[in-house]
Amino acid sequence: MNTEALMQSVTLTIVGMLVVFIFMCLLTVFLKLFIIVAFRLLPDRETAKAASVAVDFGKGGSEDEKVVAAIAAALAAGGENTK
Amino acid sequence: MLHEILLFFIDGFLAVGWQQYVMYLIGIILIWLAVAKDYEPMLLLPIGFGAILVNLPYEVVWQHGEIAGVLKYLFDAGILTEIFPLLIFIGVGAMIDFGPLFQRPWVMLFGAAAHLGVFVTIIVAIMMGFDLKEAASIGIIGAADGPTSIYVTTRFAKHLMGPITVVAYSYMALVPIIQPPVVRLLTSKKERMIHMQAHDRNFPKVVSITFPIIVTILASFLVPMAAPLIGFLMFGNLIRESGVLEKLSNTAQNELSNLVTLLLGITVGASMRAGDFLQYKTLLIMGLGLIAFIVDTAGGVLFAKFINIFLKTKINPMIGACGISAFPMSSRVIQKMAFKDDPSNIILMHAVSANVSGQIASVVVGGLVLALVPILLM
Repeated sequence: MNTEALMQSVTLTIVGMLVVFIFMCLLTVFLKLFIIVAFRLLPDRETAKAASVAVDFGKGGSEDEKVVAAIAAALAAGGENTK
Repeated sequence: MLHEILLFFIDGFLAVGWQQYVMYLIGIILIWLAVAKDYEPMLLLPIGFGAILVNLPYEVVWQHGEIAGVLKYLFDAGILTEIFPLLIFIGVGAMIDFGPLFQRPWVMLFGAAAHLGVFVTIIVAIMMGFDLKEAASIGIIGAADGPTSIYVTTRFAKHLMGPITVVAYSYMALVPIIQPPVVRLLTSKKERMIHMQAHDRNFPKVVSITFPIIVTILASFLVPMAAPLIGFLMFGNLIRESGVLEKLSNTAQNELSNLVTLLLGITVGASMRAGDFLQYKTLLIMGLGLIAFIVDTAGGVLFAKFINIFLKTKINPMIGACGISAFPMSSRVIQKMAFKDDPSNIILMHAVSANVSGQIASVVVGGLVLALVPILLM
């Protein structure tokens, strides 16, 4: 076993995971702040259509049973990964 | 004369050895998996047929004497130049709806945690005797992202392109088989039954339009090597979200994506020449790919459990497993598991959010690996 390569791979793991977490944290903070600002600055906001199936399913409330049935149907439908 | 005519007709049969026949069998198995089992048919069928084509007598479709064959031209033009995976990213970007992510940005952390498998696999691959560039290409299988795997392998280990691509797409199709046992092993039934509230609301359209631009800039500043990957992905998404390029968005999602996938599949299949594919390393790559997916899943779930230590209102740790890039299969699998333990438990919205974040994380991880490996080798 190549000890030098092993040390390099451990370094890669530590630095790699750290940078990915930092990036995702930055993106999370940015998105959170941006959404707050966007809601405040756009009182007559043009809302984006809730295009995803998941979001439509998320309404819940009194129609819970219908939602569960719809999700069950979507799960049964299958489909491919996008990539 | 008769002897020469006879030789002419049996020449093709004499030109191949047992290795080529094994590759025909592998090609047929891949086609069977695509047709009969519906495992990533858009990729595995062309790859399977490409594997047969390239192992035909004299490998005419690859190279015959001095003349390059059609598949070699496609390989050089589409894979070596990295154009095929990047074009696919435009289509993928146009297919992604980041809406669920805007509802709960904090799930993006699962996208990071569920890529632990990439790096752990690199370490294991080094222990098995691969060099760092080969190990990095193998580890990227854990990104659960075909185009990123191809992109990284093109740069680091072209000779492993065939096995890595086949393994990456095969395991992506096997997510429903790989993830549930790992999740069950790491969670109790009580944890799997945790309900999560979802009060989704509409958000200003400017958010969805600005998001791809900001992500591109942020990712490229932090990891410059990720710029082509994230740039093309987010370009596709911007076309979709702009709302003024519906025709282009549809073209990216359908015609462009389908056409490039078709060419990509058969070209990747053409990299499966018997001499390159039938090696001990291929078996190792299959095992390492599995490790990558298992550790990814475990990383996401364990991170969710870790977060739960600090939370008053606990989250369902299963959604951590959705931080991989296999979208939407992973979120579907996790919702099915939630239903199994409690038919009234709906965590799909959170699962989809984590799954979408995994698509961003996979590209960033790909760029990171591309950037860090050469630095470490200096």
